[in-house]
Amino acid sequence: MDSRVITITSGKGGVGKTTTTANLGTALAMQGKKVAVLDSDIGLRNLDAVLGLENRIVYDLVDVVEGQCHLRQALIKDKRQPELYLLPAAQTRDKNAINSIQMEQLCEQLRKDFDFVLIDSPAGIEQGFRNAIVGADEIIIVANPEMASVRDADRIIGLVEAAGKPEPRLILNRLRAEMVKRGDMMDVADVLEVLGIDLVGIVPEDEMIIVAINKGEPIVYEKHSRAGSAYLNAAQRIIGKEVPLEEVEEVQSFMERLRRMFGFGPAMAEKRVRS
Amino acid sequence: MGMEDTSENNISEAQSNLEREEKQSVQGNIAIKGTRNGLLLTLEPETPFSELLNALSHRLSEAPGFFQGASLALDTRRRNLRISERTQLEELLANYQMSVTPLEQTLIVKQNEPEIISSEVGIEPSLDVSIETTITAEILSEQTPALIDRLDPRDSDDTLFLRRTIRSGQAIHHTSNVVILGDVNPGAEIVASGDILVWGALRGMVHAGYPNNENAIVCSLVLAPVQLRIAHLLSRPPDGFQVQARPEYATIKSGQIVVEAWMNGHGRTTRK
Repeated sequence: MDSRVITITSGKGGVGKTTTTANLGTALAMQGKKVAVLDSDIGLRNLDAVLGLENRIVYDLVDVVEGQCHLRQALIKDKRQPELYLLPAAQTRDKNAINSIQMEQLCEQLRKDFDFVLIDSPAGIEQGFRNAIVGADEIIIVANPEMASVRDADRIIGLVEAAGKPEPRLILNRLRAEMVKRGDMMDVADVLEVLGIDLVGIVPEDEMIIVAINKGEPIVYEKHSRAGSAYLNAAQRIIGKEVPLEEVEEVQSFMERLRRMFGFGPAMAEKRVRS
Repeated sequence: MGMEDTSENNISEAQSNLEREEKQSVQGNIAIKGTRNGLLLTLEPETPFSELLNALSHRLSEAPGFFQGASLALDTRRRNLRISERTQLEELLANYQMSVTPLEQTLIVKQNEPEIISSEVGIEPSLDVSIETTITAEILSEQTPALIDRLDPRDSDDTLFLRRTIRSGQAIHHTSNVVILGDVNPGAEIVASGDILVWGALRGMVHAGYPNNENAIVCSLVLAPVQLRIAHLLSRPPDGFQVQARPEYATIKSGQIVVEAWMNGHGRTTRK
């Protein structure tokens, strides 16, 4: 099977790229795939902490590129998934420490040993972003349902297409159903009206994610988290399975559920997502 | 086709051909190219003027009908003409009822990001001149009468038509009208000397009639721009603005930008 190199980017900072990379990587590994996650946010690395592996870093991607060590010395095996490896970023350098050609070569090397290479991109549109997409086969954009994030995502789509990459897909993150219902937050359709790209996941806002990040344990391990199951579903879609998109539901009251059971609720629309 | 046959010309030709290979197709010592604003005549700098005149005369006589009444701009970037030479040139052109126009009107300086042009049309932009196309003789002979007739001043033949959504951060600058089949997203900008039509949702920034054509209009299926400018006026949606789900157009009326619904019969605007 051919390797797939997927870059997760957003333009805007703080929308959930690193969380998405960690969780998609873990979810894919749980499906038996060999996965490498690569943190390309040099100087502001976070992927190691989100996976709980920060104490195990000896070498990082700049060391590999500069020839200080072999790639396999820098790859850190995940605590829980035997088929998941992390290549951390450097923290004491900045984004000019490596160039696009080196990144491309690094991606080529990783392809040999892994089914999936997920690259956590930094925020912005400068060298860090360019490095992150140069070796990618596919790009996933993470956006929050709010104007600033959507505008930045739009910019990114333009840049990705100008770079000759295929049309990116979208993970809409931190959706709050109650706010959507009140009309205070953009809904899925509003976002797609501007961005016009295919959706690969809808992840609801979930407090447990903050706890998970602090603990260094990806949310996909948390059985009761809707965000966790959203990431699991997104990973399925990436592999090619058809999973209907999550409904944007609020936590329902008992009466609401009763009404729906008797057919008095709104019709549930099913949307199929292409892989 | 106008190729002179002396050896010294061949050498200078070869040299200059190598230099300008990707930009022009030079036939002998002269090149006549079509740009958005008219014909451009480029003269080989090394060649003696009399030979150039011969080459031009020969070229014009090959398709007299096409050139009749056309105006030609002289490309003086690489070769300047003496007054006597210029007079001879004008006399030659007068035989075909052709006139000479100033160079500046013919060259278009664009501020586009090169990536936009290349990806749309597949042509590398050259220096400070926009896309140039070389006229082929076959097309010309068919269209002779149409090209020389005066165009109706309300028509234009150099409208830019883009069939995609313009995304945040992309800028389209054009010296005539612009039609977009798609949306214009917030953060995108379109600056046109003519009208701007968006067959989709206009949510970005547009500036029609740049820099001071007050007759320009902006139309869209969904007019909800971040900012809308016509000529030297600037406007933005009022506070509490609600997007109307109907086609609308913006014009200048009594010194202000006014937005109205586009209705059959009502929405006609005539340009002077």
